Amino acid sequence: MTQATTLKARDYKNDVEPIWCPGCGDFGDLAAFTQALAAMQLDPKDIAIVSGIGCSGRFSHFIKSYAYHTAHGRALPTAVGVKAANPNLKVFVVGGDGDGLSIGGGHIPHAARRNPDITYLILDNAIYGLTKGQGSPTSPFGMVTPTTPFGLEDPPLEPLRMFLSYGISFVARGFSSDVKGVARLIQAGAEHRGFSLIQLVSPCPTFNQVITFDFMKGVVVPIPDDHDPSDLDAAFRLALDKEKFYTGIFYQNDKLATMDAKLDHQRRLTMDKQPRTLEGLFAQF
Amino acid sequence: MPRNEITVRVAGEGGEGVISTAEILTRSAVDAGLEVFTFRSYPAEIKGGLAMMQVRISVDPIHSIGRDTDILMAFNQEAFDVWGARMSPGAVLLFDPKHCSVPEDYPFQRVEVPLHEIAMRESGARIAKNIVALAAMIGVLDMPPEPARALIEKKFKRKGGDVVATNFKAFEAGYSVLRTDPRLKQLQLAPSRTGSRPDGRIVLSGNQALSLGAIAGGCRFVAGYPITPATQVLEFMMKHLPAFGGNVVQAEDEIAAIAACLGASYTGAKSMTATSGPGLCLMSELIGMASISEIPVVVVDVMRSGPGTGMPTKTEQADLMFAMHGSSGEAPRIVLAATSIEDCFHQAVNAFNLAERFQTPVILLSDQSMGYRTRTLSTPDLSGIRLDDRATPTAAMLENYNRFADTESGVSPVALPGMANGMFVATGLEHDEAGAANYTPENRTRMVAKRFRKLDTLAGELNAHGNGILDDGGGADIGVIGWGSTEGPIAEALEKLRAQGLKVAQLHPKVLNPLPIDAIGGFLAPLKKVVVFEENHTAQFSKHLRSNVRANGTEFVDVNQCTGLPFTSDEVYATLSEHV
Repeated sequence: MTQATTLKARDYKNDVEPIWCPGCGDFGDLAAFTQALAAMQLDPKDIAIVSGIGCSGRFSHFIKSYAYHTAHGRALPTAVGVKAANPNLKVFVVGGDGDGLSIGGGHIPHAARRNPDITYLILDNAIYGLTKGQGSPTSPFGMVTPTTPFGLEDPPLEPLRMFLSYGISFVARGFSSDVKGVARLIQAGAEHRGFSLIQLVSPCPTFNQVITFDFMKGVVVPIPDDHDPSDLDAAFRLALDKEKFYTGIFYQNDKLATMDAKLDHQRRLTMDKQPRTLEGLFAQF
Repeated sequence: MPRNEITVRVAGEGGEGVISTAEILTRSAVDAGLEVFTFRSYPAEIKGGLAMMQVRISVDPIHSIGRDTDILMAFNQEAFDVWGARMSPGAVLLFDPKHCSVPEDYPFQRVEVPLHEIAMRESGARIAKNIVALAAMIGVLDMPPEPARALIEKKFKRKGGDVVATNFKAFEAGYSVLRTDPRLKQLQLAPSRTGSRPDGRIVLSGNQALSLGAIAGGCRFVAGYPITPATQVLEFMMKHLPAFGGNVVQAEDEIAAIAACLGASYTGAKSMTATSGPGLCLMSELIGMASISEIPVVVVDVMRSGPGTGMPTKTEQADLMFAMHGSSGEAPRIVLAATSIEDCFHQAVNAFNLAERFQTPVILLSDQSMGYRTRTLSTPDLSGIRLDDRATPTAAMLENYNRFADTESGVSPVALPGMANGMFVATGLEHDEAGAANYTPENRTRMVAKRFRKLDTLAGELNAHGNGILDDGGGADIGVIGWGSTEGPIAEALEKLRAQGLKVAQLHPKVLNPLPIDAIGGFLAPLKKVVVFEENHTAQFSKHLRSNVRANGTEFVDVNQCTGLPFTSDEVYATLSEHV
């Protein structure tokens, strides 16, 4: 494929049929993702998608691009390596709430510190779907699942509050039924210079009878137009709102040095101070 | 008559300059043109605990830490209590009576050195006792004092001329205190053959040599997490790899470290992480991932005593089975073991070449004793280094690209991101030749065989071209087998036995998995008995060997120790002597 022709959303979809259940929220995210790629006219050969394990971990199999479908919880650090070694690639990470917030949750604050120029989509269905319906870190309090037969007694994580606390330079939230809105968020995240993290609430019609499409439609409210995404306090207020479930860009700070810039800086410093040839290096000993 | 070789141990409270004293002694010997081989025993504590550094100094090249010590410089009571009995015949204890009392019936020669008193008198600073001790040892050994003086000047220059002058004063006082003592005449070392350090002669630790080898091997991405005794590799790479165009990331844990390596390698960068046993445990899931998704990666394991936290600052060769098999399922990978400090350099180069050629994880085993010890060696011949790169698809292959094409060697050309028409998914799911998830019995059987065939291909090459030391001993019927860092002590023990006219065969492979079965079978065939030395409890390599190679009646004698210390050549010699 060359850049001479205009690519449409469907040109980014390969011929692998998604394994998802009919009505899965992930279909909306997949459609939005291809729309965002088309909006940016990215060359598929320069896209790398790293995905984890879970229903949404299969995402990378369905897109025309390079992809690494890695182990449970390890997509984000894998993507850090991809981007560090080849900054020319447009790097996306896709995974679910169990993958990203439970087993892989420890990687997010460290990625936040490094601020790699990658976009991480957490497709949050508040359930472990692939293993057939166990409670996840974002499952609501009281939810009955095979691993919580008498109701979940732990409160859910609140990802946005965590992300804002970590200092992630782009934090957004979307709802998979709003395909156009999600596509705009993905594009904004991908165009953001630095680490962008987008929570995409993507209901599971098979195993989650609490966080349903209908439930979400009743609580989702777009972030007001007058919100200033550079205002961290305001972003926290929106994230902490107990009544409304805001979607949109909560926070954006494009003034932080990216991982690539920092690695380049390290390289310049090292080149100034240390030998650049093996012969020179051996001479130090 | 001056001697050609001597071993010195310096022991005392960790963090009080014991190690740096011995390091200056080492460097002084090298700058005087002598050969050195050092070994350190660190306490686990950051400050405090008993630290010991052993320096073997010789007029001629040496290959191991040798025997017990000829001189023990005991800085405190604990140093004497722990090391005082482990002395060679005729050895001398040097101690400061202020900090150490020695029982009347102590069987070795003892010589008091008032380190503290001299330090206070000459410099007014307690810490100058290190310089006094250094100088006293240089005097006893009859080494030229100039190199040590130059090193002291370099070390203290930053702190000002007064500090240098005070240390020089302490040095002169220490230098003369025992120099002419008639009780110590037998400790005098012959002058070096060159008088000063010859060109290209350098001092490296195993971890340094391995790091240099990685850079020479084309490594351009490192991610790691600090862990004793492998941290020095990450530190070295942080300091030097960016100047070669590479990137280094200190990861949040070992899992993230190897994940980042796989990501970087997926883009084509030759990638490495360095860890020790506990880190290898955390990495094991992704080592399996690398194996099934066919991503080259080099994982260095500088082994330490395990399991659990074990003895982080002590050595062991007990990770072999885990290195070979640690993963879910069956995940083919190559396991190498460096055999000496010099070989750490060469095996690091080899590790990258094998990882790239076979698109599989390569685990390179070193250990604490080899990682930390230093020795003099010649700068390796850099012009002789040949680098292998990953096979990439031709334009014709890309017309209908099968990333995981089932080939005769098991190796399939791999497209790198950015390459037009090469797009594929690297996945940990079982997949077909194109990379699409596929769980059919036929596909599964075929793809597992394809990945394992890479090891068969390598084993065939090793059978044809050799793999480390494989020496029939000129018709011996007794053999010795070892792997990794035991090469030095085994070599010295063999030298002694062969000097007595005894025939001993020797096997010391560098690639431990896969094994060249035919070549090893041929080695064993004429032998009545082989003695296998390993620094572990369960004879891991011996079992690996016996489960793969038909022994045909050759008796295996497993000699195992897991003391946290490496074998000495005396121990190997004594044991072998019982069997030859």
